[in-house]
Order: sequence, then structure tokens, then C-alpha cells
Amino acid sequence: MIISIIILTFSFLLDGITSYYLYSSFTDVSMFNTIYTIIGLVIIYRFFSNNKNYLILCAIFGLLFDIVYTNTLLFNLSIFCLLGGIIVSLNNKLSINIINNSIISIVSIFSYYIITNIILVLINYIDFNMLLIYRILVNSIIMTIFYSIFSTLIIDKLDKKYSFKMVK
Amino acid sequence: MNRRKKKELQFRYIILIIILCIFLLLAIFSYTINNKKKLNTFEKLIKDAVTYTENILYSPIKYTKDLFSDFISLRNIRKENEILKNNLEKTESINTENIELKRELKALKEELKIDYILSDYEYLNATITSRNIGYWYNTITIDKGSYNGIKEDMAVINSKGLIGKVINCTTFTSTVKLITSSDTNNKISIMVTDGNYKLYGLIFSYNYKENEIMIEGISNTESVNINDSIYTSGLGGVFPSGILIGKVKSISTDVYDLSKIINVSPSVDFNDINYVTVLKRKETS
Repeated sequence: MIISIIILTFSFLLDGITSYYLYSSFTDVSMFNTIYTIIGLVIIYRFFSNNKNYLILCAIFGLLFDIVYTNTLLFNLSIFCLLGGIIVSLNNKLSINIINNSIISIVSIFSYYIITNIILVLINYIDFNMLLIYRILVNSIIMTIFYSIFSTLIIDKLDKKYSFKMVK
Repeated sequence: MNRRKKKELQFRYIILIIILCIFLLLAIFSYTINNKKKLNTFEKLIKDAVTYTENILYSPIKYTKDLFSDFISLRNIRKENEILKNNLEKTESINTENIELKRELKALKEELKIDYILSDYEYLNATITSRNIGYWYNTITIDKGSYNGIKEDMAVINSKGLIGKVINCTTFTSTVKLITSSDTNNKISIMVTDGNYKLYGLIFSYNYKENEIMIEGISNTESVNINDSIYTSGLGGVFPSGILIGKVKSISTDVYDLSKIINVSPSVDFNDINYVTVLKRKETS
């Protein structure tokens, strides 16, 4: 559990730090645009044998994302829980390895951007723009794959060395 | 048969409950995103703790980055120094004029018994700690909060012009909503002027494809010329007057061809903001 929280906290802080250097706006979408916390959620799934505990952790980090980064209420909490469900179902069908982790990360990041966009369009906060969503999704691929591979490799090595316990 | 019907009924109830939950959540999202959300003590504590941890983590990176940028800027320093020397004489005369104008303004305020004017404000410098996470919200976080005297609705600028306003603050951090936000509740009163005339209007939208701020509500657009400056008007009680927003780029009509829209090129490059100044408007007595 502790290793999962450490990975998630690091990813969560990385979201804030990289936003300063790899800034994205409507006019300039960064080539290295991604949500590290979501990739962190994909990476830590291997440590959970109980899906309930995993979804609780998703909800907690969704709530933190709401409070610290987006000033919203229950918005990211709901989306992170939904993403948790997607990650669980994809992991049940795919085996855990570097490539599958990258695929699940990309699916999760795409889902996050598409779902948030749909909700914000529905509540009339932003205008619908297909081209913009396409640009965001394409630009998020590089960093998502990189961070997913990098963190999976590190965790694999650490797991071999210290053999982390599964969360029951 | 009865069991099947029961199951169908149960299934319908579940679908109905899910639809109701979705609508309820959408209503909550709409309310919290479109309206100002005040942070409670718990939220403030978490936000402060995370922002400070981030600050500690990226201070070595920031130091290295600043070191490199300082080294690069050293190359141009001789050239800049010559230009500055030439401008120094002009600055001295402008300063003298400024002092004289301030004295006259003070005398006039005393004469007319006015405690404050719309352009009165105090400065507070801040550094940006995080920017636009989650992509759609157009907000930045700065490292000054209520402890430094920041309150909600204070105007935020940099050396080039208006950036946005403070939407909420914790003890040591504040969240600033940029004027490029597509939030419809974020209307700002502006004035267009070329020195000879003054026209008033409202910022109502931002066109991110063209990087243009869109202004409506100006009755006589014939007087407006391309490259005329747009400033805050000071009306509305949020922003002090006279803060530069940008220059007129073009004039067009709305989608219904009913009213004129002024498209403004913003003076601030919103992709390159590192340091900002919060303006504390002087309050009336």
C-alpha cells in the first residue's frame, strides 16, 4: 500500500511541477501534455488484489486533484473512479507488462480528456471543438508512453529487489 | 413469468437511478464550475501543503534554469546597456513629469474631496507555481495568499498588461482565472481609446484559434480604429482602471449579424508568464 501511495503522490506532484515547464493552453498545446496521476493509477494496479481498495485510492486522488489543481467539487473524483473501473476491466483482459501498461495508460488518458470535454461542453463551460481535442490527444501520447514505460521499468526492478506485498 | 417481470422492473429502476445520478452530478459540476467555489479550511490546508512541497521539489530545477537563462541574457547585456543609457535621460524627464502630475492629482483630489480614484491601487509581486492543469480551466496558481493580503477578485497583471483575477485564495497560495477563460460569468468592463475618445464595452469571449479577446457592447464602433488600445475601465468594482488589455486587431459582426464585435490582440503572451503582480484596489472610506 505504501509503495502505491508513494508512486501516486510522486505522480500527483509531477503534474503540478511539469505544468510550470510544459505549459499547455488553448493556443499552444504542449507536445508533452499528460496527466501523470492517471498513469500512476495504471502502474499501481498490479499491487492490488482487492479492487475496492484500488477504487478508494482512485477516489482519494480524484478528490485531491479537485481540491489542489482544478477547484472543482466531485468532478475529478467521479472521473477518476470511472477511470479506475476502466483500468480494472482492461487489466482483467490484458496481462501486466510494459506494452499493455502503456496501452492502458493511453486509453485512460484519452478517456479522461474526452470525458472532461464532454461534461464541460454539456454544462456550457467550453465550446465543442473536435480539432482541439484531437490535438490534445495526439500530443499526450509521447509523454504518456514515456512515463508509463519509465515507471514500469523502475517498479519492475524495485519489485525484484524488495518483492513488494500485494494489497488485500 | 412474474420473476422475469420483476427483473425487468428492477432493471428499469436501476437505469432510471443511473440517469438521475448523472443529471444530479451534471448539476453539481455546472454549479461548482460556473460559480465561485469557496475553499474550506481542510481544502486550504491540503492546497498549501501540496503547493509548498512542489515548491521545494522544483526549486533546484528552477535555480538551474535561472542560472542558464542568466548566462544567456549576459550575451545581450552590453547592447541592452547602451539602449538603456540612451533612455535614461528620457526616464528622468518622465519621472519629473510624473511627480508633478501626482502632485496635481493629489491637490485636485483634496480640492474635490475625493478619497480615491479608479486607478488607485497597491502592488504585490508573486511567482507562478502551477499552470492550467486539467487543460480546460485556464487558471494559474501563485505563491501568495491571504497571509500576504490577497483577497478574491483582485486584479492580476504583469509588465505587459492584464492577466486575470483572483478567484480563491488559501493562506499561502491563490488561484487566478485568466481573461482568456471561456467562462461566461467572467465579463470585464473595458474602454477603447486612442487619446481623443473613450468608448465602453465588455469582454465576453476568447477566440483561441486566432488568439483574440472579443469585445461587445460598444455602440459606436465607427470611431474605433485598428491598433487603438483597450484598457480596463474600472467600472464594475473589480479591476482598477487603466490596465492595458491589448490592441484592436479587427472589427466584425456577431453570428446573427446584429451587433459589432471588436477583436483584440492581447498584450500579454499567456504562454509565457512566470511572475505576476497582484493589484490591491484601494478601498473607499
